[in-house]
Amino acid sequence: MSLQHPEVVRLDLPARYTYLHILSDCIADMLRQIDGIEDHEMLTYNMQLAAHEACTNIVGHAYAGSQSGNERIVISLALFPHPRRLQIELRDTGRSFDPEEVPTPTLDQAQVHGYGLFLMRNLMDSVTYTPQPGDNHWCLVKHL
Amino acid sequence: MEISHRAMNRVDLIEVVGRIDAATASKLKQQIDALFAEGRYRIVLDLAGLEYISSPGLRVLIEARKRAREWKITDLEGGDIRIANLPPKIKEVFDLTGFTSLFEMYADTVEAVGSF
Repeated sequence: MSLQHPEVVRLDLPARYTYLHILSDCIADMLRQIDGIEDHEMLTYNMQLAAHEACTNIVGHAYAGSQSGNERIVISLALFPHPRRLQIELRDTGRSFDPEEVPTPTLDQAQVHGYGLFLMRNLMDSVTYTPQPGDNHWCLVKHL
Repeated sequence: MEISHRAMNRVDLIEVVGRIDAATASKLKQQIDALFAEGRYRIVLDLAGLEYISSPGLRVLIEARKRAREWKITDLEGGDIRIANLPPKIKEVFDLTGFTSLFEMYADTVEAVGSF
């Protein structure tokens, strides 16, 4: 099917790894509608991985130590026809961080941190993170 | 994620099937740490059944590789984590992160086990 209008899916999930498969399924379903993609399986895998890395960051860092049980990730997935792209926005109300302070992994030193952000930046065309008290915002964009 | 382990004379073979992500990476780490605790540092990971790996899984692999390589019998012989049967879509992630050049990779487990 060729996309004529933006298609948007919104999810409001508990910030737990258990529910990330819902996000994966949505990404796969949305990309399945796009014609003319060379390697569908690889693209879907990479988009799922990038989105999961953002969620892993939110669950493992933004909400680390939170015990209210009501931590959530609000996600908006949008498929735009012109220019054709997938945009994944994620919001959380947890602790923010400064992406500039996350070191790029140095393989020689077997550094163990920073792979999540590094992967996201390599898998997507654009990754922005806007920290704001009570409303941290990730925006991941991939041109298709 | 399912993990199975087979001990051979000099080498341990760990087969991983499914996903290594934030929820499951610790299970793989426990399996590898248990081998290290027994003084076994020559490990082959058979990843033919690996469906997905994210950064927590990559972290387990790189930490394990570092610890295994610290164990040396001689300058030429020591521990290592070697990989067999890496699926193509996972290889792309390895390429992106530089892991491809970091790990010795083999097309099958026989070759990987024999490399030690």
